[in-house]
Amino acid sequence: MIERAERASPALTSLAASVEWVRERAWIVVWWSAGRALVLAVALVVDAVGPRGYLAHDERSHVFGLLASWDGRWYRLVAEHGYLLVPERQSDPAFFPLYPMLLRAAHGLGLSYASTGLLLSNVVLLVALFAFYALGTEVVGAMVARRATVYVAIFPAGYVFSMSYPESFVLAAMSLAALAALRGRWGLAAACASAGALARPEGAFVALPLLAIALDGQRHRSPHERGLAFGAALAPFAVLASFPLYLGFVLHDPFAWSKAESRWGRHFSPIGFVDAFDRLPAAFDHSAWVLRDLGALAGYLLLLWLARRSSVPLAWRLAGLAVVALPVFSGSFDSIARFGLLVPAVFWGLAWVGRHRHADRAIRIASIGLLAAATATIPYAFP
Amino acid sequence: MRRGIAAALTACGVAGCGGAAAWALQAAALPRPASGSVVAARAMSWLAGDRALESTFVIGTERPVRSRCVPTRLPVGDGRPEPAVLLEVDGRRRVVAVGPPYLTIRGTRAEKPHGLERVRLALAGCAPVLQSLIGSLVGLQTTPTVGRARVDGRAAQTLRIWTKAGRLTVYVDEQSKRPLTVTLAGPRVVGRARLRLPRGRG
Repeated sequence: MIERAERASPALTSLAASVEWVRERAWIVVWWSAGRALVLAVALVVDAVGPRGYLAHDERSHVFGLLASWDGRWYRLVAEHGYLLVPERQSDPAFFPLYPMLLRAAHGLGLSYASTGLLLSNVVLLVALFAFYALGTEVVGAMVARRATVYVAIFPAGYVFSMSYPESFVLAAMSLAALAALRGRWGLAAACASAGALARPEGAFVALPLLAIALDGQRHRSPHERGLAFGAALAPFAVLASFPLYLGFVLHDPFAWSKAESRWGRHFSPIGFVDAFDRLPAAFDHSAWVLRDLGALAGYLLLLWLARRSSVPLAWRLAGLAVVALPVFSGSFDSIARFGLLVPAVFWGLAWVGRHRHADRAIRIASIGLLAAATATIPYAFP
Repeated sequence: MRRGIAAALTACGVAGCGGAAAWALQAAALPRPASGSVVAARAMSWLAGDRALESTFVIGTERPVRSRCVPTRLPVGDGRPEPAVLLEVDGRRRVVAVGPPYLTIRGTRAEKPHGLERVRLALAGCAPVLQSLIGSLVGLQTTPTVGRARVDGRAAQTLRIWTKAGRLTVYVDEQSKRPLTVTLAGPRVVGRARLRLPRGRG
């Protein structure tokens, strides 16, 4: 009897520690629930009484169809039919493959693609928030990390975390990659960074913080460990290269990604930012929502600058700059508000702004209001 | 030095394994596009880039006519260039807008061709119209079926398109996916066209 109790005690201790770990972080679940409940409630209201805008027929037939719209259609198309480059039209090689793979795998369990995307994105966001908080605690300290995590959960552009988009997955992958690297688990860091890069190209920029972490302690590592560390920083770029190789294999065109991107008005060039400003009046004529992305870009750049005050390391700020500024070199401001969701340094900068109680409260209230408003505009505004 | 090389080799090995695993994952986990969709997309690709074509076509009991169709872009009301074609049928030339539903070309309001008129332009070798008709096969929910045939002794594939005027069948070269022949089988009218590149072009 006593022997059995002794055997059970390590398991009980471990269980108790796990319960305690979750209890200490219960606030993450609360904010995640609040943010997602708000997005889902607004989606329900829009479905019941709201505008139809540019929603397709099948998206109107699902109660949360709003959240499966826009790029969600394309990810669903890749999951269902694979890639196909259609010349002179928008086509699906513009979308990275990991999220459709996950959709397809989960769809195999019997759920519709719309439900699968909804479930996957929202559940993975919870994982992302836990990982982001753990990362922030190590990079900027517990107080800033806590505020930043709350801001991620209710960020105005964060309705995208609930859509059939890979953003929540990429944020989780980037955070886990950096966390693993900080703890010296380079194999896991390489795997997570690779997963992020396979879901969205912005995911590859976590390589910069990984490289900084690798350089930081290299003198104390064996050649093998050093190789693993630098390999983890290189892996996302190798994974990026695997996508055109795959498109070359399946479509006989390794440039299918850039050709498809060009139909969305994106064509990278060293003077692309000049084109972006040059085309701004025409873009505004086409859709005034471009001002939202332009404002987001300015806000993100400001927050990246302020992130210095939160002692955010340079590598994180540079990675953030690459995520929000590089798309401008494609000649377009579209979607920058959404891209900023993948920049931890932006949220750490915002957490510095919210260091005083009143500022913190103002940010939370404004975020919640804007999150509801932004969700309601999905039928009209490309995220 | 040796320690540095060992570290570099390990780094390259990790990155290489990551890239190879990602490629294998994509190949294993994603479906390949349906062959009909690939044929349609490649035929569209062949027609892209303002391809000029000549055609000899027959509609119903009309006499055979020769045509030449050159894709172009013309400024519309606000000065934006929109797709159009310069069509020459039996020596008579005209400009047809093939872009958005309603266009104003040089001050004249022109209606986008639809129904039989659209099919007639396809039979006359107008690449943008043919491309648009084939494009209707690769929409979000459709997977075209592809058949096999021979055209003038050449191996060809067929794509069938349902239009308001009837069933349009496009025969494309099996290798290059270049459209060779287009047939129309409608309830009220039938037609057939043989397409070729303008003389002097391979």
